[in-house]
Amino acid sequence: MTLQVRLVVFLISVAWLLFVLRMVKNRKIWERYAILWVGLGFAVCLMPIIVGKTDAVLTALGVVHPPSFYFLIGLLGVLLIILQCTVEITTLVRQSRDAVQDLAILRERVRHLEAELARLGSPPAARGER
Amino acid sequence: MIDHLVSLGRRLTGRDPVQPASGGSASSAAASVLETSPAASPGALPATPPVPRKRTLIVIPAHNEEENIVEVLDELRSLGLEHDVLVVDDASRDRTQAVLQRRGQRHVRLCTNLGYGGAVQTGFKYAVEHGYDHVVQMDGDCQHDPASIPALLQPVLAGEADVALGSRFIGKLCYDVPFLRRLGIALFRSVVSFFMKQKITDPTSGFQALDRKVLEFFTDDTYPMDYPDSDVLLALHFAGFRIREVPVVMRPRTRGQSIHGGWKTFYYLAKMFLAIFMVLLRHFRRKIR
Repeated sequence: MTLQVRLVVFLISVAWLLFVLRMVKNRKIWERYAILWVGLGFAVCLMPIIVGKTDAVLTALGVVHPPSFYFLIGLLGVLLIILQCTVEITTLVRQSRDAVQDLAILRERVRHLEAELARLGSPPAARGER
Repeated sequence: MIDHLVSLGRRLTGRDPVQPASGGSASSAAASVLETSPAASPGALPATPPVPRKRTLIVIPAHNEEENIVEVLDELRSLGLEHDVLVVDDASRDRTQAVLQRRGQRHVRLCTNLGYGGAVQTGFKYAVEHGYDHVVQMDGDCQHDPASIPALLQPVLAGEADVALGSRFIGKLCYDVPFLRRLGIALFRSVVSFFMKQKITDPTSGFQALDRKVLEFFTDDTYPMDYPDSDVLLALHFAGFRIREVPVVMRPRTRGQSIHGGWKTFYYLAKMFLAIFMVLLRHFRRKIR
């Protein structure tokens, strides 16, 4: 990888990291959901620096094509983020289910109480009382 | 809001508006489960303790069932059962809610579609909150014959079972179950019967009578939102609940759309296998611990 390419990749990575951090700062993403994004952003920033320097280690570990290894790491990072999103979706669905159910039950209760109040507020004759 | 209504009621009447109501009113709550003895006169022996009256709620989940629900409710009314009926309208897009309102039928309407399990669970939560002792769960598509309700409830009322499962295969099946569905039922029947060490002929039946303990068990996160079938039976069995099958009459659906069918069949099969596997995994993990 030439120095120019490394520099371009590094600048893109830093821009991406800053973009994520800015979104966190503006509360577009909460910190708890941004941890993986920020971690992955830092990892991508390190890529242009470490690519080439770790090839000897990776080859010694039996990796035939080091760039494929970097792709694998990137893919696993993205999968981790997707998994976190799925967990969060499950939690949200659970919470909205409970909210919808409670709301429906409460609405019925309010409707019943309103009917009861209307009945109590009506003249005794209308209530069937003498 | 409720506090406001209650205080308004007090101001209007000088008494608590939430009184035990006749006809098994929704807000009668725990107070109405007690049938007290006549008021004791001064100096008389202490009054006998209140005798608890068992209360049963029939829960009917309905999604786009404007054509069927009227028939189901009419049938229930004609039987003259003394149970309260709650229809859970699962965000129907047709006139189901209008039909229920016009009839003055007690119902809760979910503001968004939760699916069959989510609607049934709402009924369970309602029953627990309002102090019911038993629930009969039946579909709003006319397939479950309400005349089978007394037989279905009997083992639960007698304390012989916590769940009575209505079976169309030991009862009367008035229609041909499609081949694929029959195959699925046979498959899940074998799996459930094997792990429960008890013959279950209709593990996918949604016609059930349940005891309050089961309702409380189901109000947490264990109840699936889409298809509560064989996985739920296994979870109940592993939790120590007694399940008994009761013959019931099931009829063909003549109107409206089933929750099964089309691509959903494949989703159902895949999801059910995964859910059963997870129930077994949780159970055996607990056992190992």
